[in-house]
Amino acid sequence: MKAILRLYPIGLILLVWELSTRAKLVDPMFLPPLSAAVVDFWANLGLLMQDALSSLMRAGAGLLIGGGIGLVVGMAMARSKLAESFFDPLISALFPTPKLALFPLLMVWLGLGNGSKIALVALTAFFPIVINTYSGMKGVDKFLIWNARTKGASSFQVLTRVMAPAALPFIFAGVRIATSFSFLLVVAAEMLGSTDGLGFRILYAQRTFEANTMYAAILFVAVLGYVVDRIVGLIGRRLLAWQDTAA
Amino acid sequence: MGLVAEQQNQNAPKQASPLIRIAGVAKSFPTPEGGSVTALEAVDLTVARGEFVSIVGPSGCGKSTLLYMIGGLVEPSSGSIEVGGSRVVGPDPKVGIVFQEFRIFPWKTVRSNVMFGLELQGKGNAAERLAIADRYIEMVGLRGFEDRLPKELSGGMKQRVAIAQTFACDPDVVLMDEPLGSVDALTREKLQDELLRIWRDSGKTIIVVTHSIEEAIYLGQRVVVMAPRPSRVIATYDVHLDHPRTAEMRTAPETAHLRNEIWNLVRGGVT
Repeated sequence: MKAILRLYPIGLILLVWELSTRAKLVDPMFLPPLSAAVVDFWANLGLLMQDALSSLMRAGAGLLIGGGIGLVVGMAMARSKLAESFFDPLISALFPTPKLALFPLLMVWLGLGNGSKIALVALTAFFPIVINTYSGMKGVDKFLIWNARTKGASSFQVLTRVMAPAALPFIFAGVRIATSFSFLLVVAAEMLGSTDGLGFRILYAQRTFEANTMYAAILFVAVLGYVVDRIVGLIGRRLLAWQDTAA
Repeated sequence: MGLVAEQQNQNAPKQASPLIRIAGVAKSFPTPEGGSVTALEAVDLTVARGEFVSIVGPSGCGKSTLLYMIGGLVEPSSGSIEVGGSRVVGPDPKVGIVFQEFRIFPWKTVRSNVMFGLELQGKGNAAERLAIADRYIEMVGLRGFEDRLPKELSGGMKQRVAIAQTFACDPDVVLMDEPLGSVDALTREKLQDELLRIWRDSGKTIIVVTHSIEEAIYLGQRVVVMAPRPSRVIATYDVHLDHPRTAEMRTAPETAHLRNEIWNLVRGGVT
């Protein structure tokens, strides 16, 4: 009940949307009624589900690849001066580059299929995870490491049994950012060059003047993004239940 | 002064071969300006097997640094440290350390914290580790809290976990850095008695660093007094109190006398 009450501003906006369009205050080509978009969603459920599956698969694969590499590189940087001096300037230089700018290049190299989108997402997801893993591990309490070392821990055990779990709150914050970036980038990439996916569907509907379908796809993207973020947040709460936080 | 003369000068324990032999150990750190700052001036100290030694001194006297050097975590700039006849070159599970402010692992329950050292060393199978952990949890009086996370425990309880965690690894020597520094006065006295009981039962060699002179006297068979600027050992006292200690000994005239003597010495050393 409380959760529903908390969401009332969203309900209010949707209500204003529905009423103002029903009252013909807005051209339905610009903004069709909410109900029309919902009806269109049901009518195209199969198609939109297929698009969503493609988008989620690309985002998920890219996140896994980019995040996995980010995790390994971040750990290496925290443990080895050589890795730190090699990767630190590269990351500093490439992090501010909008990865979307590389997409035309990726399309030339990897084609219009899944490859170019997964690569773009991987590139995007890599940065928040590598940076958070690196700084989280660098910041691990020296005494926790010392405690393990005086109990016979090898340097590999220090890395996997002490530094990695101690840095998990940071790493997870990186994962959460990377997840929302992934979703954003996959939709954008599908708009630029694709034959399916939710991004493609939105742009295709716009170009064919299917305002209802366009809004149905936009709403679907919004809801999916919200659900994915909530799931990641819940996983985080479970994984980090040991944290002694004020909240 | 020569090394040999210095060692004879020591308030050396009566036993034949000391377990810990610290000879001319000094530590200095480089400064960003290119100079160096002395953290510890030549320290000589021997500790017999089974002895309980307190090191007391104001903050900045290098007592923690000395402890970390015995534990192999910090390398001395000069001099040598031997434990059990072999030179300390790095951390060794034979020398356990209980760190300041209970540095236990916050993502592990009480039981997995206590088992952690055994796991790292691959000692025994899972069932044996569990049995050892539960025995030490019992010893520090935390039975019933095995599955709690550190965030659910009080400071005194976390301190007990840290003590159990180190003793569970069965080290020959236990070094404690202000082990009771952040617990309240009542818990502190209780933990002091528990610590002495554990020491008597286990027969381990224990060195405790503290900034409380009363605690140093109550716990130690010997009190090593350190002073800052330059950081060094300024005196060593034998404590002539019987074991087991009793509450009366805390306020006994001998205790008060020794306390005042050390206090005057420390005050003279703090300039």
